[in-house]
Amino acid sequence: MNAEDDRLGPVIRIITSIAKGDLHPEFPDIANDPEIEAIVLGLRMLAEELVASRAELDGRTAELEILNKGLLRLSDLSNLLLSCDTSAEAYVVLGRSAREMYGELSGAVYLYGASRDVVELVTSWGDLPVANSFPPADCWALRRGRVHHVSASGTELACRHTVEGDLSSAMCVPMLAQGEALGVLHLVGAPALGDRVFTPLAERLAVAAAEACALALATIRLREKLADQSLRDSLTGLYNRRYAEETLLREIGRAKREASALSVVMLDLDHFKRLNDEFGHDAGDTALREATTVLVESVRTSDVVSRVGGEEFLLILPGASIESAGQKIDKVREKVKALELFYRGHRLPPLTFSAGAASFPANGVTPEALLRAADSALYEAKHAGRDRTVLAGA
Amino acid sequence: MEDTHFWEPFGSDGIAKIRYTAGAIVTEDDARKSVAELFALTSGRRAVVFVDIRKAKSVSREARAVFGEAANRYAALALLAGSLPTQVIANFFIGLSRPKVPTQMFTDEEKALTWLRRYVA
Repeated sequence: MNAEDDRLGPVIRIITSIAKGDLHPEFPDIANDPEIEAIVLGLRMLAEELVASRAELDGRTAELEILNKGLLRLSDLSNLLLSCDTSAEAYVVLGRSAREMYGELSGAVYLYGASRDVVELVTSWGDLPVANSFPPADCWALRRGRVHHVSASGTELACRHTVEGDLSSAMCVPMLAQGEALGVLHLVGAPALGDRVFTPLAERLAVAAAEACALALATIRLREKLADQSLRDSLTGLYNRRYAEETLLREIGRAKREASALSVVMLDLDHFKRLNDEFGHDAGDTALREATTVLVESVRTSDVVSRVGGEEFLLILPGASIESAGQKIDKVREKVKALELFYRGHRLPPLTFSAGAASFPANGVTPEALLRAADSALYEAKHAGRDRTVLAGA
Repeated sequence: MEDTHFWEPFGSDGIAKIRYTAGAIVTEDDARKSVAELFALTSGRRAVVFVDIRKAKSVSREARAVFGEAANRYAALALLAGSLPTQVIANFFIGLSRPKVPTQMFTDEEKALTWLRRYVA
């Protein structure tokens, strides 16, 4: 070994260690040899930079993995939500997915009620308590239309809907779709987690999740609205004939399976044409709406009231015998007759109706047969002088 | 903690001059202290800065990061190196921190000050 080898020995050892992946080799103190000292110092600084770069790269890789997982979950969530037929189904999916995505946090999803003066809880998860509903003004995210973050150690203004005195960090993300806020995604970290739960990446993912949910919910709601509109009568808001026929088929199936009673009532307002001719169609519409209100208020929520013709209604009464159906309709008749109807200052004549009731299976085992029997009974009621109920087969 | 550096009186040439003492091992704390001193010295104005590291022994990575960040708030920065090791330190700082303001290494003090005078407002 010559003198030059001796001189370069420390340098070679450092380079060998670094080459083997050891970025913290021993850097000897070199004196009296500025060239070697400069090389060792340079290698030392290079190793320090490599350590820092590696740490930064590891951090970014971890962040990318989190992002990747988050995006995959988000994609799953979007697909699931788009497969939902109803909002109720979507809320269940939303709750489950949120639990998976934000397992270590508590949280809730709130959506605007129909009146938009309150947001209501649709799903929540985790141990920390959340409000059931609150006015939108109680949430900074809803007021400002952007993410509002409160750190456990910070001095930011907490939303009023969050639990007071809590040392948790929290984040509210408005759920925006097509420029409109549908609600808010509220996430809360347990006090023990401190501020480290809501990283900028977590915030970006939460915003993406809230937007995806909002868009999916808006689509589902639109679909529900269109479907509902196709099944409803626009004047009275009652179900239409199509829906009534589908329901009757379903209820007959159920009555068969459960050996339970089922009755239908065809109901027709008396002298409705005369009312229209004398007072105009708007007066007729008023009478229809008022009669509808009485009908809907007089039946159970399990009963189905539908408008199947101009002044003709069909009631499907699951579990009701023909006698009880007749009694129920007679009570409705009294209420309708007692209505005091006015139209543009004119008092309208008392409203009466005729009705025909039929029941399964005595008067028919198919929708067609049952409706035919109820129609015949209605016809009899009309011919017998109107303002009465006739029970089929009586 | 013994000072690793000293400032020369801020004179009429408008250049803030800091010199590191013999064998100085510059840590992050030293770096923060000197940066704070500089901003106090120049009342927060964008300063023209001369740094003499000829006698310094080493500058830690964290200290280089502090200097790198602070340098962007200077008007210009000249590093005076002497020995090969201090030249390595200076080159590392310039190459890796990449200040966004004019920055250069010199081995001659007068040349460094002449170059800096161009940036004195």
